[in-house]
Amino acid sequence: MKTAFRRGEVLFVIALTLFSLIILFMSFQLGFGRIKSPGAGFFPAFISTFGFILGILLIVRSLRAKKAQEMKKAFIDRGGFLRFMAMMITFCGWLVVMPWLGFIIVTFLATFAFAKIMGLEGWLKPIVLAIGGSVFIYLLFDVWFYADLPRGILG
Amino acid sequence: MSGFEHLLNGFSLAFTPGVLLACLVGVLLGTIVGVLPGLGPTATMSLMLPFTLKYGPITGLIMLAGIWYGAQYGGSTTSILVNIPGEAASVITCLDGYQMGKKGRAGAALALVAAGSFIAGTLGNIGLQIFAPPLAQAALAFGPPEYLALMILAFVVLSTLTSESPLKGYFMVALGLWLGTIGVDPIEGKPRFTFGSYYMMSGIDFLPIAMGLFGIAEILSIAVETYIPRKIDKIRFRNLYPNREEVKRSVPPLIRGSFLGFFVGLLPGPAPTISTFFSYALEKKISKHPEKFGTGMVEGVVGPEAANNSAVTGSLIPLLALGIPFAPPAAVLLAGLRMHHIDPGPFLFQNAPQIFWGFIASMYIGNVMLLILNLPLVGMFARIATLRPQILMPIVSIVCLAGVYSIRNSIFDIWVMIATGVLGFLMRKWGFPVAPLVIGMILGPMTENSFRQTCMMCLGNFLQILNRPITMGLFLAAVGFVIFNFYQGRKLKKTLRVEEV
Repeated sequence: MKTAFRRGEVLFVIALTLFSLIILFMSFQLGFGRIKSPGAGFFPAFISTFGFILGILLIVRSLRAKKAQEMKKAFIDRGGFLRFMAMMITFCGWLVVMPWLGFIIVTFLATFAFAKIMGLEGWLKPIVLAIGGSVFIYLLFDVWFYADLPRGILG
Repeated sequence: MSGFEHLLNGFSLAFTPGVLLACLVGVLLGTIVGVLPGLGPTATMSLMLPFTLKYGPITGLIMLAGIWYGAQYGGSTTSILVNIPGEAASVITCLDGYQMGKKGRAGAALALVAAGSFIAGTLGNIGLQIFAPPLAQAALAFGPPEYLALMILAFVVLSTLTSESPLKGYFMVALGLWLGTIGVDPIEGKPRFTFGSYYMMSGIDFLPIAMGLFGIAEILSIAVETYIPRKIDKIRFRNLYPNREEVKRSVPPLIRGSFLGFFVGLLPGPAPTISTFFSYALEKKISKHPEKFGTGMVEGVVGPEAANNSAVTGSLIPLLALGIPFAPPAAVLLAGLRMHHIDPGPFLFQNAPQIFWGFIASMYIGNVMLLILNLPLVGMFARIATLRPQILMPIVSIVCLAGVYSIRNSIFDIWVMIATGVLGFLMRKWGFPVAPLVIGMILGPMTENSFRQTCMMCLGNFLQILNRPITMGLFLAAVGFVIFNFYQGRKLKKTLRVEEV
């Protein structure tokens, strides 16, 4: 019985292992110190070496492993992937546009977009949800918590 | 001042309107997220962290803990009614709880679970009250080597219990510890891994990481999956009465589950979930009719549900007495306390006993609130389970965005949250546990300090540790656990190979 691995998972482990190597290199630049008086880079070097060894072990194990049953099935189906990307665009859009348009308008647009991406049918329900969401966020953060969220053009 | 006087003081604090309201909001939210499959207590606690800043540390702590133990109550509702666990700790309840429902005993199962959870929560609370102060007293004698050994043991156990592969768990601990080193080095004052960014000089804030790993990752996981609507039958109050035999059969598993859960709660890892499996296995083993388990045995419902409630209170002991969280919700509690500049641990009992005793008192009150909420309102909570993610998740998404931004008015924190959200999503997909990363990150600075201080104390001669029995004991336990796990893994592989042949 060999452990099952997926291709994406192996790439993820390789990326983390390389990252450990970079951290190890940076740790030595910080100054290792001595065992009696460890420097700023001592502990990070220790844990990145540990991470690097674990990464190598996981890569070796994945090379010895048989292909996963899940390989036959896609990691995410096409619809799921499109929803994932649309969610990411909306998240990034909220934070890029928010300082200019203000949090109320951007929250309205983002809630509407999230609702449509998640599959809330029709136009009325997403609009009502977006209005409700914006009012809720406004009352919660602006009125109740006095958070200094940018108001943008509604300023 | 005696423990009883402290507790009375705690009750006087817990009965103030603000604290009572925080307790009610916490347990109510906890029950709701317990009922809702997907959004777990850790995500909700992270989501609520910014709101606790407006109030004092005790109010925030009570609300956050209320979410955690409230979720254990709510989790069983959907397990019994629709065979879908509201959260991981209620998976085992599906086995017999749903079968009881099919036999028309759903109301009785819900009532027994609510009453059992109340008793278990109260017993766990008594345990917390008895064990935490002496442990904190004993921990005053702990030096850096003891703390280092304790954290290493916690990391080892946590990595093993939360992951299909301990290697992945250890890898995540290393990543978490590294995240904890970002920022200015506390001893030499050198900036580390800041990549020239001003925002990273004071380290990466815990809140965006927690919201990303638990909140955004959950939202993304739900978004990529196809939603299947659920239908839930109506539960009426008159259906909630269990019969005499069911009550009689529930008492012993309830007591056993409470004690078992409390002690499992002291272990690092997802203690409430593990305790339910242990309790179910125990009930099945000692039952006169083990073959009937899975067909609607009340012992298989009440025991595990009692265990997960008392496990939560058990999990609070390492956090409050030692300042070391053993589970992600405890890490969020620690982050919440630190936001108020309060460090739990041995000195909490000396410097701010009102926080501990107020918290204990509020948990007694919270358990009563949960019993009152869960019995008559069980039908309403069951209906909440039908709330579609298309409505809930957009609101959760914007609360995450606005919540993280509102803490420091920092766009950088939102980028961190989104990046860790994607990382958390990939980790879930590929079986990398999130808990070791979170615990590693929050304990990172403490682990590094203990590590460096131990190195300085030993002057490079680590054999000196042999003179410290607690340190040695903890290190040996960690090594023993690794060896045991390795041996068990090999045994399992051998068995599977034989089966394959």
